[in-house]
Amino acid sequence: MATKVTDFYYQVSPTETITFTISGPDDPRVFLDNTTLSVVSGTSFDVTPQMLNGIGAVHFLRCILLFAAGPGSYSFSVDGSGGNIDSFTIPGPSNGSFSQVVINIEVA
Amino acid sequence: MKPPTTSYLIRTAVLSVLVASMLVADSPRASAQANEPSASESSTSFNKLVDDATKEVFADYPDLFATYLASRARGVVSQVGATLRQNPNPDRQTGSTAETAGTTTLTEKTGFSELLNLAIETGAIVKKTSGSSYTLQTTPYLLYSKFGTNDTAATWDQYALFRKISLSATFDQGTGNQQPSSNNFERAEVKYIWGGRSARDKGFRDHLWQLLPAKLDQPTLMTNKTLSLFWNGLPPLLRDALRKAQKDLVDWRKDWLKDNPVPTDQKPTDQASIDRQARFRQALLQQLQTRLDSIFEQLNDQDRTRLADLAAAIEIQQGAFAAASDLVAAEAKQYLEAPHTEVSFAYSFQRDATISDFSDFKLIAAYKTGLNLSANLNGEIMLNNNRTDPSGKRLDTIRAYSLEGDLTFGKFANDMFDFTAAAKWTRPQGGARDERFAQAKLNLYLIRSMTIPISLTYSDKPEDSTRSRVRFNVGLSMDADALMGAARNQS
Repeated sequence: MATKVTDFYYQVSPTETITFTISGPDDPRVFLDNTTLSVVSGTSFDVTPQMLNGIGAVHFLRCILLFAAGPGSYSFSVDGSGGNIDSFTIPGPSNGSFSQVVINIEVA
Repeated sequence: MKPPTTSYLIRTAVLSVLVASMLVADSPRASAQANEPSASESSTSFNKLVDDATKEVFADYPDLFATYLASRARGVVSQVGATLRQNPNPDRQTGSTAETAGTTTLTEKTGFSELLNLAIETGAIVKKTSGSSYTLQTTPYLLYSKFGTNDTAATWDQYALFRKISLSATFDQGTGNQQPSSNNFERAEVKYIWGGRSARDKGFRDHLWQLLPAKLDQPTLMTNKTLSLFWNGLPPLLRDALRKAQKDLVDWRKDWLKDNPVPTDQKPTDQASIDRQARFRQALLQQLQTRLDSIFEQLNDQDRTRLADLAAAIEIQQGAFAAASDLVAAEAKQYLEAPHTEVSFAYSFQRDATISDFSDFKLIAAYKTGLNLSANLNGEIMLNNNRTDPSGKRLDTIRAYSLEGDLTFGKFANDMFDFTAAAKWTRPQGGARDERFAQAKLNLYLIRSMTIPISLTYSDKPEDSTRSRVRFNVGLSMDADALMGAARNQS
């Protein structure tokens, strides 16, 4: 079952899917390692076992959040097979017109 | 400290050229350097990440760890403030209109503040006797956004209708009303606007996302790729140590923030805030040293090579953020200043104890030419609310017609001024002769949200004296949109 190790760091079993939902003023730009994911604000997206490597591998979900309309916030929800394992809010912008969130996903 | 190997130098140079070739041609890039990172040097991206880590929320531990470990000293991060605050602009009506006891406006503008505007003005233009007036203007969006506390891009889109309705009230505080039994309410107006533009519009944001991937995608992918290569290339013990370091640092940050709360009345510019930030930063650097130095000592040559690649990629990505932020600011300016038309319709109720209270219907049209110049043309009809005046004399329903227009140039001189040349012609009914006015008005934008309007108005209608044909009017206006809601500073 997916567990939260600490903020922005989660462990999943090799057969488990972890689901993210990012809601905010714009669609986020999301990258898993060297792949671009198609993500819409408010719509859940899955990170499946097929997208991850074997036990011990650490993957990086890098989310770029745009604040073109001024300061605001994005909310994140992280769900595993057992339900919600984390929720947090990211205010911004913190880097010009953007904020960046880097999430570790470790297969354990 | 070990000298860089030849293969390391070649790899870093090739990596940097490859990433650079993927960027749009005008993106600023940090040049690739081949020196072995020194533990005593601090890179710009590392300093930026440390500053970010001293805020209430921080979400980029892997990059913070990588840049600390690399401790590179190169590159410049441009902190372009592209936060698009809604500062007062020349197309907004600030203060009351020409019919009140205190005003600086001959020709009314189409736009208005989306949250709140307060104005104090002295000197009449159309009215016979000068006074001072206070004008409060707001929109229903102020309430739906919970007085700006819930002013986000989502509520901006959701409650668009409420942002387009202006409600204002003017109160006479001067010598215009001498009757002790009456209150000082003078004028109320409701106005609706079509065609107003804001950098917060969804269509503009969608347009941005057509352009931004070209600036951001490749540097971000490269950063993630090199991060994965570095992290997963480490032996399991070091990966475990990095995981523990992140957990410990997250917990430490929470404890530090809990033990060092920010007083509610403290501003970011207060010395106490600056001191607190400095203490947080220093303590954070000590924590990084405590938790990561032992990891750094165990990195082999291959680890350090991958680490240098990662640090270079992070620097390049920081440059891409700066370039993308510049793009956002440039596109916003182009969108707002592009030629476009705005139209407003206003209904006002005006107190007039001498003749009759009247209703004022106004159609206001503005065209922004895109050359820092906009033109206004307004048509107005005023209807008496009473059939007779206080003496019993019968009044016509139609009180007067009016036509007004202006040209506004601005802002100029580093956005400190705008200038308006205006004219108004009024045809009163009941046998009175036409009234004509001309005005030169200068708005001074001295500090954020505050405007000082100054105007000189010529009238061919004698007031108290046939010699009093020129009036000087001055006021002070505060546009709270630049201080409330989404525009408030979140750093």
